Amino acid sequence: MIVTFPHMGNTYVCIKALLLDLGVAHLIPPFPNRRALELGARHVPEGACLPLKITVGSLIQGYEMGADTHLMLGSWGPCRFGYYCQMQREILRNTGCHMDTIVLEPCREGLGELTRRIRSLAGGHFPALRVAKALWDVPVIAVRTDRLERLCYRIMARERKPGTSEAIFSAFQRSALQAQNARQIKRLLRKTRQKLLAVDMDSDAHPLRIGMVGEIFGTIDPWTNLRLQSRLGRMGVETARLVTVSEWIVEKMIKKALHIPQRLAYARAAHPYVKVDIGGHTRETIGHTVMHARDGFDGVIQIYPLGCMPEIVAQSMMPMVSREQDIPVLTLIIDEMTGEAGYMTRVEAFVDLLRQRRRAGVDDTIPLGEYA
Amino acid sequence: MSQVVGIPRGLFYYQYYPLWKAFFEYLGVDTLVSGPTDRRSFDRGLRTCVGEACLPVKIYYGHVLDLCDRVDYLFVPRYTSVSRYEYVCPKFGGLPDMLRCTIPHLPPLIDPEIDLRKSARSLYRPAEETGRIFGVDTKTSRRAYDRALTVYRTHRQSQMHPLFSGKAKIHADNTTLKILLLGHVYDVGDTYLNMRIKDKIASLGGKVLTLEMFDTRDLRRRTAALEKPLFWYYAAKALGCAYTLIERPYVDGVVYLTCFGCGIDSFVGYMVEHRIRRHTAIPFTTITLDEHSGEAGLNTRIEAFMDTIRWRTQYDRDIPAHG
Repeated sequence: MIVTFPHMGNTYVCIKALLLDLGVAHLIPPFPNRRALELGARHVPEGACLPLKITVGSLIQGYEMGADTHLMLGSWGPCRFGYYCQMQREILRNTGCHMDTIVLEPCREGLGELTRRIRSLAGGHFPALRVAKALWDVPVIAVRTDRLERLCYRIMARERKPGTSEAIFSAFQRSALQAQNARQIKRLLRKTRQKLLAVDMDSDAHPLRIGMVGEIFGTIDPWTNLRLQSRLGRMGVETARLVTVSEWIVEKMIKKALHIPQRLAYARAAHPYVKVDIGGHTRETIGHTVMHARDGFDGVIQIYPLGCMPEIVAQSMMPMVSREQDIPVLTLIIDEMTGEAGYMTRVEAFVDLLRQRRRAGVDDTIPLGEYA
Repeated sequence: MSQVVGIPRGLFYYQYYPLWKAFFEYLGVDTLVSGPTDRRSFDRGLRTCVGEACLPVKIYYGHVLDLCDRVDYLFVPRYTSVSRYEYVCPKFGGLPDMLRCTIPHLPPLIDPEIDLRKSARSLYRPAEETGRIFGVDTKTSRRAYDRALTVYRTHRQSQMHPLFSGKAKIHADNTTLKILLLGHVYDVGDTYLNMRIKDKIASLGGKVLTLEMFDTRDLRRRTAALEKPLFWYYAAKALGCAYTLIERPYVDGVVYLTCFGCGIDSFVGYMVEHRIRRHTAIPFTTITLDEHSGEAGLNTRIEAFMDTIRWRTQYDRDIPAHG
């Protein structure tokens, strides 16, 4: 059995750690690329959202490289993501890529079913200790990876030699692929953090700060959003993103499963606009925008793939949020037709506007949030 | 002066209006339904609603704007879930919030949340909440809801086709073609949105069947064949319908009606189409509508589809007996 799984930003780091801990042979498809998108767009129904197209493309690439099992997460709606696992299974079957599917999700049949699935992933046996260690490592590594990424984008806007931190981070991404066990990944995380902290920075820099909100795949996956965060970093803009893989794993999966109260600051912030959880990241998008506004950010960019149901709801509230919280918002909608030039023109114009807004004297003292 | 509750003619109006009407009648509250969709409400909806939303939501906005100045309350229930384990659609859940954030000077919304996903115990809560606004006590609200439910059930029973409630046998009938018009109730029900597609099919000698003519429980049972159960109300029904047709191909053709940008249809349409094409000989076509759709294009496609089926039954012998 050779397991493969689709990419979403740096999720592969913690999933790889999980599979290494369990001792499962696995194969990581190439990072999302043009061909993956083309394959996906060809086989996936036209109206489906972009992440499905990219993930199916990645899985087909994984199949071509020799994988025979597909690992995926699932949930129970109402966002379409919950049904991705089944759609991927059907589409792969219909295109002649015969792979088994293992879906890790809160099963309706109870914990027994999930245990059965983990056992089939671990090759027929259930090494309790190893499973416990693996399941412990996943959130730990996810949190550290996200912390590293956040630090990277923070430094990027301040470094004296542009490109230094980005190079360090992409070196980490490449080496993580080669890791032999979870411990190596942790060591790598530690070393990269030290390297990043040693980057020569302009401590007096007062960069623009932009919050990234929106649908999780579109905001997290750099290839999908045309490396927007790095590009902004190179333009000397600090970006912060509160939607992360670790937040998703820790808050939405672990705490929910164990009935531990979740961190709901975003829900409180969003409450004047969204009263209940309507699925997807609507509440996060609105809540994070309000939180960024309170933290004194210069602007917010909302990113989502065309047709994303929860984000459309959020987008229709954005004008009011933007007006009432006094924060400029740019909404970017991406799909397989997105052209880089048009996209960047809008982002540059937005950044120019924010610069002018700041120069015009809209409060020059920016409180520093607790980042990095 | 009595207060008037406005009911926009859109989305779940097409499914639950008999229930709402009976409920408000029992409470003695006057209701006002917006007129059928027309050019004016359509245009106003398009202008006000966010561009990325689907056509039915935009039309709903038009109806809300239409009612805005004429009513004391607007009835916009928050339909999170109407069945166990299943959601309706994120846009339905966020509809009251969307309206509040985009339309200024909105009359107060009556937006009780209907959420039967975890259990049916909260069944009466929306009714009680609504009743409270009009100073009606809990008991009366509950009774009103019970009465409304009876009305609704009778209405649903009357919609059911004898063919699917097991009361009639299938007749061999060569002259009229039975066409299943598969789609969300608000796509199939709004004749302005779908450009009177039912009349068009009927005028070409077709008899239109819709999802509402099937027994929902039976449909849902059939989706048990899926590896992962669906968690959308409509999706389970539509897919159940596909499985029903695989077992007993009652119909001569399937027209899948969808609106551009419908997230649920993008998945379900694919699954239904695949099953019908692979396991049955029933001709299948998908019609996607949005605000740019022209009527001539629709006419051509419907005519071509009907012609194809007719020629197939008339000239082609290489098809199953029930084709």
